Formats: sequence, C-alpha cells, structure tokens
Amino acid sequence: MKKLVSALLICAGIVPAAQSRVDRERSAMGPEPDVSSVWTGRVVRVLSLGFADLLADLYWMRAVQYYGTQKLNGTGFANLSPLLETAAELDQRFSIVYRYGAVFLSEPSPIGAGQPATGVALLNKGADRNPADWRLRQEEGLFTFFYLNDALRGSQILQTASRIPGAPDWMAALAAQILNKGGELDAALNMWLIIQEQSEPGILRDNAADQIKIVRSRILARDLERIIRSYRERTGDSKSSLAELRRAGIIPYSSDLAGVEFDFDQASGTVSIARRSALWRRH
Amino acid sequence: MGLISSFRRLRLVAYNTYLESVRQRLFVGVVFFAFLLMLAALVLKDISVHQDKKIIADIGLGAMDFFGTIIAIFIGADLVGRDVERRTLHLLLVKPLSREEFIVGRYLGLCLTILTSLILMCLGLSLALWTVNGGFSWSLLSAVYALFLQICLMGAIGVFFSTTSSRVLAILGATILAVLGRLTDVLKNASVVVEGFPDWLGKGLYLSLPNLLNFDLKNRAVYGDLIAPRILADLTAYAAAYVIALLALGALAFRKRDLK
Repeated sequence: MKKLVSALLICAGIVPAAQSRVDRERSAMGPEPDVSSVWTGRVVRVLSLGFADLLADLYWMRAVQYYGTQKLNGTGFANLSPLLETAAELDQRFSIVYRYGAVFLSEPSPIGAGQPATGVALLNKGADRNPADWRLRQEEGLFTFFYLNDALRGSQILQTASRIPGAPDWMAALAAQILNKGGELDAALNMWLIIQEQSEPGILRDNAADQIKIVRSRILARDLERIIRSYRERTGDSKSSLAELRRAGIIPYSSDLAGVEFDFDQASGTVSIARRSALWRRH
Repeated sequence: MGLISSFRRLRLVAYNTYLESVRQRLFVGVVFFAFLLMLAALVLKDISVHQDKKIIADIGLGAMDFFGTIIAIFIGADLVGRDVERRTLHLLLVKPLSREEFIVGRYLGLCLTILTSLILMCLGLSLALWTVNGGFSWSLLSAVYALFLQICLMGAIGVFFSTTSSRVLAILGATILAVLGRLTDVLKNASVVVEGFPDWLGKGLYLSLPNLLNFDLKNRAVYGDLIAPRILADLTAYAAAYVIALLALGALAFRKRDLK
C-alpha cells in the first residue's frame, strides 16, 4: 500500500515537470505555424481532435474535385474559397493549397473563379505562415502583378521574396523589370516561364503554358500595333483592315498563337486578341 | 527469487492477454486498415495533385492514431472487467498471483498488442508509400513511437476504468478522456475566452488531464522536420509517469473491489 502511494506521489510530481519540459521542447522546435491555443473562429481546427492533417487532405481533394466539376458545369465557384481556406487552416504548411488555390481563384471565368484578390490574399496568408518559403512569396508578387495589374506592389513583394534565404538571384532583377514602363508584357512572359519551369507537371504547368501563349500573343499584337502605327505615319492610310495589310505585305502575320485573327480597331489602331480566340481573357 | 517468480507470472499473464487480444479483434482491424491504405494509395494518386506521399502519410498516421486508440480503449476497458464478469478471475487469483500483478500483466499484454498492431500498420504504410516511391523516414518513425506512447497511455486509462467500473462505463470514461486529452490547449486558455472561467481550473485541468496533443508529431513527421530524441525521451517520461500513476490507482481501487 505504502509503495503504491509513494509511486503515485512520485508520478504526480513527474507529470507536471515532464509537461513543462515538453512545452519547452516544443516551443524550441519553432512555431507550427499558428497553432491557435485559444478559442477562435477556427472551430474546425479545434474539433479535429488531432486529425487536422487528415481533414486538410480531405478538404484539399474536395476543393480539387469541386473546381474540376464546377469548371465543367460552368455553375460558378461559390464554395471554392471556403474549401481552400479550411484546408489551409487545418494544415498551414500545405503549400500546394495556396499555390494551386490561387490559380483556381485568380483565373478569370470560366477557367477559374475570377477572384484574383482572394487568390492573392490566399497566397499572402500562405507566405506569412511559411516565412521561409520564398516560392509562396514569389508567387504572391507575380500574381499581384499579373492578376491585379499592380506592378508597384508586385515589385515590392518580389523584392521581399528575393531577400528570403534560398531565393534565386534573378528575383531582384525581375522585381525591377516589372516597374519598367512598357515592359510589363516582357516581365509577365518571364514570370510565366519561371512558373512553368518551377511547377510540377499538371494543372499549374498547363496553366503557365496557356498564360505563356496568351502573353506571347499579346506581344505579337503589341508589335503589330507598332508596325501599323509606323505605316500610318508614313502613308496616312488608316482604312486598311488587318487582312488587307497582310496581303499588301505590310505586316508579317495577323493571327494569334491559337490561329485566330486579331481584332483590329481601325480608329485607334489597337490590335488585341479576338473574343472568339481560346487565348482571350477578360482583363 | 520473489522478483524472478513475480516477473515470470507477469510474463505469463501478459502473454495470455496478448494471445486473447490478438485472437479477438486486432487482426480484422489491422487487415482492414492495411487494405484501406493500399486502396487509398491507388485512388489518391490521381486526385491529390502531386500530394500522394503527404496524403498517404497523413492517412497512415491518422489511421494508426484512430484505430490504435480504439484498440486501446476497447481492449483496455475490457481487460479486467471481462474476467470479473466471467468469474474467471477467481481461478487466476487462487494461484500465487496478486491483484497488482494481474493488472500490470494485463496492461503489459495490452501494450504488446498495441505494439503488434502498430508494427503491422507501419508495414501497410510502408507498402503504400512504396507504391508512390516514398520511404519510411526517421521523422515518421519518431511520430509512430510518439503514437505508441499515446496509445499505451490510453490503454492505461482503459485499464484504470476497467478496475473501477463496468465495461460500458469504462469505455465511456476512457472515450471522454481521449476527447478531453485532445482539447487540453482549449482548457488551458479557457479563462481567456470564457468570462468567469477560473484560470486556476483551466491550468489545473491542463496539467492533470492526460495531454494527448503532446504526442501529436504527425504534421512534423510528414513535412520531414527533425524530431530531436530529447523530446521523445521527455514524452516517454511523461507517458511512463502517467501510466504508472494510473496503474497504481487502478491497483488501489482493485484491491478494495469486492469480487464476490
């Protein structure tokens, strides 16, 4: 009896001491990012009872399936952001949720949800939660520039990313390049080439390949505008269509990379990707 | 001499408990688990978007945690009660076997059962990871060891309740503690968010309830974080102290239990 009681007393002393040591060790391991220890709106995390990672996987797969189904059905993406947010909340280091989720959210309808601000916010959250992950910060910068058309902010974010250990040297140069007036398309092309190179085969790389075609077509359109402007200044001819200019040998091409003829506004001389082209996107 | 014969008796009880447990439910659960993992590996490869290794590891560790806890609670809560109800305990106790030895032997048998189930589940997980060119890392092994400690602790809780109450109540009590043990962070900070909740009560519950979240290294393991042996040693000390305390309490209660 005495032995049992003394064992009990010794153990009663050991348990709190071991708990304090475990607490110290765990805090020395660094943050797990934001393991919220108070009751917050993140009820789902608390209710996961230690199975948060498994639930995060389920939410992620549900989000992928939902995205695919809604893309086919064309009935909107109302639940996409909540699904991605929950997956990211349950496993805050799940970088693919931020990266792919941002593409799903940012791409214009019908390819994506057409919510670039939400997509960039998701990337921002991921980059804040994983400060050592330069790729997340880099993609936040690229998406800010490309989908939100905010070159200044995008450049600032890329500069931040370039200072993260392990970030490639060219990132600082890219940050400067996108600030060049008139050089946005070339900067965008570089960015998508980088994303294509860094991505695994699949949705991200395919999307980057599509974006490269789009940007290259816009560069072709921009170059056509320059040729036509120069021709008009020389001849005063402002009535010829693209087809006529092509037949006359003034311009070397008149179609985008999907083989669809560019739209040409004769009044302003603007050349753009035609709405009927697979490469057309709403800005 | 007394110690050696006591050890021999413990070994016999533990071995018999192990055989009984393994013949009961363990293998069905484990085979089901392994089958599920293999199936998941084949199905998830295509829909997880390059996350197959992570998802398989998450499922594997999550399933070990869940099924292991189920095994610990259900078998642990039945270990003593079953013999009392069947009156087979009387046959055992007329032999030179003390009630304390009986409980410790039963518990050791349960730990052996848990270890066997985890080893089999690890094999299933390794096979599933192998199908996606993944391997079983030190981090994963560390996480499994932490899970083993956690499940053994749950087993001790089950055995403790088994010595003091009926099977149903023991399962209920152990299940409640299994849930509370995973909500200890909430209890610790309850006074911050619940007005009027005494801070000492939250902190007291945090320190006295088994903190099962301590043993959750799954996320760390899946992302390949380095898990220092120090923390595993501390977790071992924590679990061992808790288990000994629970078995001592159980032995005290069982001593006073009227078996007639």
